[in-house]
Amino acid sequence: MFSDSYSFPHPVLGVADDIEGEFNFSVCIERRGEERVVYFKSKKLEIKNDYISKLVNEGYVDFVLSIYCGATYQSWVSYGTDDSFIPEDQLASRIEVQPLLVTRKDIPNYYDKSFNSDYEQNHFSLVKSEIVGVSGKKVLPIEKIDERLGFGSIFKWKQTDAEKSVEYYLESDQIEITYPVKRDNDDPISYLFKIKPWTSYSIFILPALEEAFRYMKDAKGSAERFDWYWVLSELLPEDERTPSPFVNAQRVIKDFHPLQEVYFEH
Amino acid sequence: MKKNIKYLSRECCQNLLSSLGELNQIKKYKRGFELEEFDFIDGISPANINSQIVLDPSPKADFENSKLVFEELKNLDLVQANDQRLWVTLTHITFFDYTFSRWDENKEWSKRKIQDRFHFLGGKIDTRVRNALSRLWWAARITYDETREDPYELTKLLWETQDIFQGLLERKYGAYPQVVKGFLEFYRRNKQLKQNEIRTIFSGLNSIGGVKHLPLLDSKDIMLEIANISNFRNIKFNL
Repeated sequence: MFSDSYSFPHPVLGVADDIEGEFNFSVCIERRGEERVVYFKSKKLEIKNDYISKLVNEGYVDFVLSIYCGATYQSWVSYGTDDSFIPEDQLASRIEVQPLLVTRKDIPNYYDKSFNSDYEQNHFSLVKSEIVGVSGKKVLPIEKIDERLGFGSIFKWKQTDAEKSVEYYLESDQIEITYPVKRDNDDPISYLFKIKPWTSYSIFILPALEEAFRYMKDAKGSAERFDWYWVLSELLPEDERTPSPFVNAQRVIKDFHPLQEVYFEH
Repeated sequence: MKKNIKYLSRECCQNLLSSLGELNQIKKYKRGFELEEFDFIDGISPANINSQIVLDPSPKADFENSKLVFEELKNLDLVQANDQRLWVTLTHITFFDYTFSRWDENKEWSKRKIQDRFHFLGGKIDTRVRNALSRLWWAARITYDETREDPYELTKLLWETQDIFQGLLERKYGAYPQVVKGFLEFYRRNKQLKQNEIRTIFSGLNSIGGVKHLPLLDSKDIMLEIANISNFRNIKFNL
């Protein structure tokens, strides 16, 4: 899966012929739209060198999956082969995924007969966090959907069974909109917002905003606990609101219902 | 009073970029644009900004501008902060005068310079630190620390020299908070460091980063690594 080469001051498994054997790694990377996470699962590690395997088994060396996203200036490190995930809202453009074997403890006498004879049987002293195995680097694109009418961060989307209704849940930092789908792999929201944005806005966003403004009116002290409250307060300050939550929902984006826009979409 | 920033459409951003090769397009950047030349998205954006804000185009004001822009747009999440439309709107409309004046140092504007300072293209780190407004926001975002008495203490250090800004933000280090913190804490204790010494330290960190996986170290370990580099290179320091 990976291939790369580095220059190290000590033998490293996976770099040229520094050490006899191989370090291979594979992982299944899955984007879970409904949970909005990128999942790293089914991590499989193969170390074809008895000495390095022994260091892993004895806890001196561990497997690390290093993930880097330059676009968001974020990085993550996970130890071992358990499944792990990253929230999609931390990612943009692409990520670099790099599997490594690194020391967890000092190894004062790092040497094995499987090291290349060029090292002239020298023993090395390694400290914690030094790299002893590489399996290259892989770059994965992370494509985003244009959420121009979805208000970006204040909404969270969740799928439910086909026979259920659209529902809104406001007791969290994001307003959760649950919508029914017929088949597991369907993603009607992305498609609808792309081809009929105003219709989608009217079906999903306007009612959600109405509920939010009702909550803000009836239980302000309670609503203030959540991030969506502050976003909507900035967009439509209290002194600009009317007594009607439905009118306020319309005012967030325009002063009237987007009926004309919906009409011209069809 | 905060106003919602109406984003330029993606097509408009692309057209502005692709037309840079046309005759007279660069001249528009010197004289300014008319609002009618832009095309905006329908709907609202996640960005709201105080319409009274004025940014000082002097390079010495970078730190203060960084604080101002970040405070206004603190609630942007990381994905929203990667939206080309946000930064192109800010440089072409909201803060056009600032962008032009800040980077008009030698009065020459090439296509490349306009691309770097006014536009926002691609997922590379360079894009974030070259766009005139995005660089202000990201510098604060990466160094802002609410646990400190002054949450912008590290931001101020970052902006003190161009070598530190470039060294941390134009490399992967910007994605490793412990490296950013460790380096800036070391610098805070050693403001006497000269430009060539700072560059030597970054070069040393680069070498170490090839052998050790830096994200696994904490900020104190990073400071110790920098101390080792300094010792090796005969750079005087306090720890």
